[in-house]
Amino acid sequence: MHDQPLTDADRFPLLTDRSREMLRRLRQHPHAPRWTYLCGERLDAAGLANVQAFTQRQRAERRSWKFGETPAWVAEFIESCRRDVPFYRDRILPTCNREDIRREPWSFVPDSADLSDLIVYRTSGTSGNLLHIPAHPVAPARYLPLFESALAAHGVTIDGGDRVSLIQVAAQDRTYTFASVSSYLDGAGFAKINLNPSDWLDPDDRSRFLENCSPEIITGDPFALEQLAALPVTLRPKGILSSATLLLPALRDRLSERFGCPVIDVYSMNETGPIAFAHADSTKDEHEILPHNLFVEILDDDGQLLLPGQRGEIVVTGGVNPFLPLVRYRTGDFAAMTFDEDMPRLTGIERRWPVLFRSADGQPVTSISVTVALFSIPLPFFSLHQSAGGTLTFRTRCDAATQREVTAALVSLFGSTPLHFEQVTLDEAWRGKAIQYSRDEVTR
Amino acid sequence: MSREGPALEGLLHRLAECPPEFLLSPREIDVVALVCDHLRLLSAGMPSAAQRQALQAVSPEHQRLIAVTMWLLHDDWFLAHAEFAGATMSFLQSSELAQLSKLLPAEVIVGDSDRREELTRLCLKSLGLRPSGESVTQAADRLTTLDSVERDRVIRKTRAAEARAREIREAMARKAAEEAAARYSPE
Repeated sequence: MHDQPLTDADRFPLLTDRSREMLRRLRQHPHAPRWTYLCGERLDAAGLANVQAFTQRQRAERRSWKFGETPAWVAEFIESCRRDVPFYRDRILPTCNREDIRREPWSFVPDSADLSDLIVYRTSGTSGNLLHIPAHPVAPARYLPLFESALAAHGVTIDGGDRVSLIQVAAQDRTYTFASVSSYLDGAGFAKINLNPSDWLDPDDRSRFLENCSPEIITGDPFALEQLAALPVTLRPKGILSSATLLLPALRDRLSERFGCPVIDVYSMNETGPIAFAHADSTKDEHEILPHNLFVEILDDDGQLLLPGQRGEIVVTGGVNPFLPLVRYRTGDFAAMTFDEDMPRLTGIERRWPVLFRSADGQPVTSISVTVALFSIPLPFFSLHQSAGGTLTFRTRCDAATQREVTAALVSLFGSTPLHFEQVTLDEAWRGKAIQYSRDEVTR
Repeated sequence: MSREGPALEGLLHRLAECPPEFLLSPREIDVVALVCDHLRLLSAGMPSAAQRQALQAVSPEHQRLIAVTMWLLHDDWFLAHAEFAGATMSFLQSSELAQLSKLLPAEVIVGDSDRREELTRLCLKSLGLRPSGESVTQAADRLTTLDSVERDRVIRKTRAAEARAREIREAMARKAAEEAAARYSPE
């Protein structure tokens, strides 16, 4: 229990002389940004052992199952939730959703949970409803072995040790930035930075800092990664992990060429942790299920399991966070599943409720078909809105040639539907992720 | 409850008329002597010294409930069925009767109609009996409805769950204002 502000001893219970020196180096780096936050891994020896055991299981256990099968661990997991988690006790629920977590987050915390380990994340996501997520410090740390799995599929390893292993880049108006170290990565450095020039004493410090740190891995959302690529920076990371919003394959390939490394799209949520990843060289819109302890299903509105290839809501059981065990959690995102070679994959992930547009001749155009039509165009972000009268508004930030490509793609889908192309200002782009698809008349 | 016993109404009426002497403190009446008298009337064997000591060792409230039960079982039907002597001794020392005595004083059990019915049904069940005219299911359902010990368990569980939920809510409010742990990627 902490009624006093945290100290570095609380933030980094496993600090060694070397990692303390790494932390000092990052915090006091001559070209560092103005750090806006103090934040650490909060992982003690038991937590580290927990993450290492998770890594062993992630490496040893199958991530595959056949359609219609349920992995052996699922029944035991659900039974333990019924015994130990108030939300699941004494009731039979077909599914749960974000609203359940918003309404009674405490009911997901197991009876056996030691509350001195509790941390809380606040997230508003794209839907605007503030969510308080109870979490254990092992939850964010378990992302690392999952990232290692996705990177290993591309022949990349994270070495850790006496180096900066990870930098998360943001490109936002304002966001928390901090320096940290990871005991899981043997004391390696980690920093979250904002590429917004106002965060730095000198805008050129962004490149100087990044080059001096020379991180093994870079994480960020597509817009931030695109902003990073625009900097005159010489970086050779081993891999880049993109998350938060859709990474179009054309932008992925451009980033890969720019930095000379695989760029992997990770489908991940605050509530669940990483769910799936896309192979960096894939030409298909598919993501392979990533954690060994996550069971994914596609369900319809009534909670019925859909067949492979049928689109429905992504529903997950399991997850990285021991203080938020999920049983059939409706993610609010949509996709279909395939099971080629017993490997479950999500195809055509839509990170919001699907929207049904209308073309000029009244034909339905699904939002996923818009996404597919834009695959070969390297947009960092975009949104498409259709007014009640049918006019389309496409918002993004791109050059004239890219705008022509987008227009051609949209005309091929929507015919002569009026199209208003809106280039957003850089300031606006930095304010955060846009709602991708919307229309005035809600179709459901 | 496989065997049909006496009619419930007569037993409830008898219990409602329990003489005040049976409700006296164990310091004022000899509960063990009441038990011995009952067994003598049944022509059953007397309790052993160890059994008598065990009866004396139970809590005062439990002893008062034993006295009330002795009054109930002094009904003609039981006096005519000596074969229940052994089961009677077991019931008097049972955890069910001990639990009930912890939750409700003897006066309440005698004075409240539902609690009279609960003790009567509990006693019948312990002797392997059900009230005359009832099926096994009816008798079991009615006892479940009246079960003070079960109700107390549920209430305690609910209270414990409420206390835990409050504890987590308070911890979450406190920790929401505090730094969390570093996250390595955006979401």
